[in-house]
Amino acid sequence: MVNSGGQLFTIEGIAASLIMLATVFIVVNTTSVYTPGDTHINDMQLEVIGSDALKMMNTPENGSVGKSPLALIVENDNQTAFYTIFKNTLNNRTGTQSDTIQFRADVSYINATGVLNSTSLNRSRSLYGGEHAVHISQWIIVDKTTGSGILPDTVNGKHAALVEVLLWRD
Amino acid sequence: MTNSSGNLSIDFLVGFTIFMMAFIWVATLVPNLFLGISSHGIDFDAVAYRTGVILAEDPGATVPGVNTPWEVQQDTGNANIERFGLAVSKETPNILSETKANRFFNTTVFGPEDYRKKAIFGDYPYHFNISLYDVKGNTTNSTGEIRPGNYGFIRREVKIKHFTNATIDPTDFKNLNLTNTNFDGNVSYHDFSLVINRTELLYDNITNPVTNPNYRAAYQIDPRSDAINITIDGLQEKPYPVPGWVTDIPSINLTSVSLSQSVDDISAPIPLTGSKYTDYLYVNDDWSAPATPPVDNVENITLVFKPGFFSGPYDRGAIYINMTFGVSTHVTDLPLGPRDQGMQYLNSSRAGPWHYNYSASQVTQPELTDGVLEVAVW
Amino acid sequence: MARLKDDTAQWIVLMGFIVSFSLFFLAIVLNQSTVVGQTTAEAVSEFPKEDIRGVRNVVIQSMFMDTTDQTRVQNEIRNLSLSRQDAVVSFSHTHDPIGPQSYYFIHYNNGVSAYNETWTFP
Repeated sequence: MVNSGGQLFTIEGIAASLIMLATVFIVVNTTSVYTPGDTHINDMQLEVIGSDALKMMNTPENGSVGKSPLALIVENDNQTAFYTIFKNTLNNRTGTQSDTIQFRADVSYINATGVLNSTSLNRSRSLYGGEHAVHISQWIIVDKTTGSGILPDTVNGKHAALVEVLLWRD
Repeated sequence: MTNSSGNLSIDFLVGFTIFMMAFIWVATLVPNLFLGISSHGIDFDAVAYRTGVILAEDPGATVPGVNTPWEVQQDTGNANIERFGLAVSKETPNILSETKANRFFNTTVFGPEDYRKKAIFGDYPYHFNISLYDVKGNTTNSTGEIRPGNYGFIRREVKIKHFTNATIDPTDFKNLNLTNTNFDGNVSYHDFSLVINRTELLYDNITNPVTNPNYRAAYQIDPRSDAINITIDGLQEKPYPVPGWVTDIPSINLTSVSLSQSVDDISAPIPLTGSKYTDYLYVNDDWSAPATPPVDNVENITLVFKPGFFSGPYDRGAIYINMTFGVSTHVTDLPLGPRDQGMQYLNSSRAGPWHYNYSASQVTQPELTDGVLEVAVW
Repeated sequence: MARLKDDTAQWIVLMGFIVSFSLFFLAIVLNQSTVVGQTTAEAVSEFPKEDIRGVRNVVIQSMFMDTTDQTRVQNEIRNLSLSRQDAVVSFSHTHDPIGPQSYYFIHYNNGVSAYNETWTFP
């Protein structure tokens, strides 16, 4: 006693509701239009430039010096030298114009009681908070001598330290 | 039966809603569809990064079976090169060898297809521009086409390891103590030998104490692929010490120059002959053509060994450069009358050969200067 | 087409469904192609190449120091690596009893990438 007069309407109704549900799900799930910044290619390029520049600062200039310029700068707490050398190395280009990359550098170390500390090395300008920065680091060995003010709360002798730099473009 | 009261039927509303949802969704897909059509452009930055890593951090490779490095292959031996690479060695990334950099940018030997096959890789024939800027010398080497408006790009900061050279002048006579007083003071010819000891240069410590042996390749002198220039000047000046009875400045004639090498630390030297070992001698600042001994009245001598001059499979042993000088000092004040007195300058017959190594003060040690390598791909 | 038994225009509707579904599928597939550039750059940034090189460098340098410096520096390396770089580093060395070789074992693991090395000197 089944009346099959409205079958197509019922099926149409069920199919329509399934399609509605599926469409809502897909629309909510899909990503918006891709921008170049989403691809993180610029971040990767900046990170490569920055870690190259730090690594070149951490290479002694000839075989007889023994210590790299970066280790010497940290040992002597020579903040202006770090600023000049790092800024120039970072912004060198093959063309005539130099680049405009800003940075903020700190030295992280472990003090005598085993606690992590960090001291500021130098910065090209302060972070305002809206910058999109990448983080690079370089391991160094510093030799702390008597009377030196570097790496507070540590004993004299050799220490391992991490020079960490935040880089961003203005 | 149409209803004219102004309402739409539910059916129509539902159908129209579904249609609008589907249309909006497809519309959001359209920009990404078009981006996907030019799909080879999406990876320009990735290809540029890969080429930057290959050039800056890899020392390069030759095909299996070839023992000499890629930068000393002959101009006809391009097929022996499997991959370009400018780094000094695998343990010293970002430190480039000047030999490799000069060879890489030699566009008369390598064409665009060579660069594509051996540095850029990939099936698509990319356009490229590779440039290396030396900060200290303020020079730029580049290969490839001019960059258009839109390209994939990477920039690497590097250091360039420069060649070494040596200068021996009259002030070194006292330091080198190349004297043969009481022995050969009267002879009319002298031998002066220089030795480039591969074992010492490649395996001894550069610094004492050792800080990090991984980086020794960045500071060592590699005679197999570096250029070596040795200049000996001031030969016409008075030798030191000057005996009181010497009145005439000696005239020095270069009689012969010969090269030999020993392949390990115990064998005897074997002479190096052949067309490869010629054209290295320049005398008296005459750079137009190399000189062939015997040459009279030399004032200064320059030995120019181009990169790859001493290339070979041996990493031990030594290279000897033997120079024979004919010297005469004419003296007139002796009771015995005028006669020729031999000269003691530059005589290593008794003292032993002069070493080209890390501790000789006449040798300028390898130095690293800043550079910038940029790779653009489109 | 008001009833199921009426099969006029069935083929057209079926073909319409097939074509539209295949177009949707292709659109989704092509939509994912833009992630190629993104994942390449992210893979480069995620692999800790400079961290591994830096840790290896200071560990090898520490092997040539005297004992007090060496103990202190090696503890600091382990500590700094764990706290600042989120990586576990462990290393040790043995000496060949017969010959002049020394073997240094370096292990690095940051949860995603692991690096193990045996370095011989000389």
